[in-house]
Amino acid sequence: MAEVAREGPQCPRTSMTAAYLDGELDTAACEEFDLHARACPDCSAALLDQRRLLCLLDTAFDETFEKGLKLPDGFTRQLKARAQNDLSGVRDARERRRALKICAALGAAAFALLGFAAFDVVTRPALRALGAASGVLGVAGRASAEAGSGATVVLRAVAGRIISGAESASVFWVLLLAAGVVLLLRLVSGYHRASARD
Amino acid sequence: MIAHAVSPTNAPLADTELVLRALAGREDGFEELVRRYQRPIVAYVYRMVGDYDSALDLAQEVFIKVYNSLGRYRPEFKFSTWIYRIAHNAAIDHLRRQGASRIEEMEVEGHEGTTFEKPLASKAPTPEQETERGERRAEIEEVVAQLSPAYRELIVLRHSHDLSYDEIAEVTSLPLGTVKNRIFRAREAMRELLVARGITGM
Repeated sequence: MAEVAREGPQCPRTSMTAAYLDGELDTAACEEFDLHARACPDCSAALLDQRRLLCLLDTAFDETFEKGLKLPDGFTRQLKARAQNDLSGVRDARERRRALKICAALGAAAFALLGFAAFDVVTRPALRALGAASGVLGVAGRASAEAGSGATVVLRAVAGRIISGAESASVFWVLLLAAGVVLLLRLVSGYHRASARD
Repeated sequence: MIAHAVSPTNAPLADTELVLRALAGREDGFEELVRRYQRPIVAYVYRMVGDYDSALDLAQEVFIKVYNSLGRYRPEFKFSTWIYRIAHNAAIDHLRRQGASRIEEMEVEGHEGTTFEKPLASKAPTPEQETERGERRAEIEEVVAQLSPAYRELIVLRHSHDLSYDEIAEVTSLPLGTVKNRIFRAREAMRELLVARGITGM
């Protein structure tokens, strides 16, 4: 029998045909729709189409697909083992809290034992190394301070000579002139670079 | 021979019994749950994501979550609904990671005619195609794979896993009214795709 897709506006109750055929309407709604469908061409046509489709689906959705699935060998055992060994979730919060407490206690005990055992091996040599390092740093610090104070004395003498000298003003003007020349040269070269780009 | 968890009367134990066994630390409880649900979950996720290897990985993720959340399972709900909900979340997260931004958007686009080519991977097991029934089944699978994920999921949960509308609403976190309406639209979308393929003998 030729089958065509329905077009145009339909009776809004055609959407009830699926639930009606699947026995999912309550008794009153079922009786009401039954009466309606007898008088409604849209709904009676929809019922016919859905019934035909259901016959087809019954044929297609038998157990063949499910039974035909080739599961890997040992899949059941694999699923079970993965689920039981998965650590992402312990069954309840109480068990999780207890596990956390035990882990924390074990961690603290391990830390204390390791600390005690490692005192001679790690802590003492580390303290000795720390003492030696502080001595070296002290010597270096003293040397740096002396070098710094020497440099300050020299700079002060040089600066005093320059500033107190008669020619200090001319030195200032020479430096200013040199800075102006450098600035002018940069501006000129920048202008030429911009021209070349254009 | 593999020993299955059974009651003293040799009847298979209910899922909730198996959960209780697993929670009590008995390995056979969880093992039987895995045995019972591994195929449905792989099949469901495979149909959702369209890639067999990803489906196997996601199934592992699902069972890890199930194992770690067994203590939060409430026996008044069906175990199958609960596990499908976990699988639904895993599949949707996977699809989002793959680039599909929002499941709602995917549905709208699909409804407007843009179908989502998510062909079943060639290395995955293919259904028997020698008989006419097998060919028809393969065609239907292709059409289901072309549906938008939002529609595909409802079709698969309803028709392949026999979930009720209430259960589907619980798995997908959709209101019941939306489920009713969307299943109709999903079937209509499917019907149109089948008609476009020339399958008219419905």
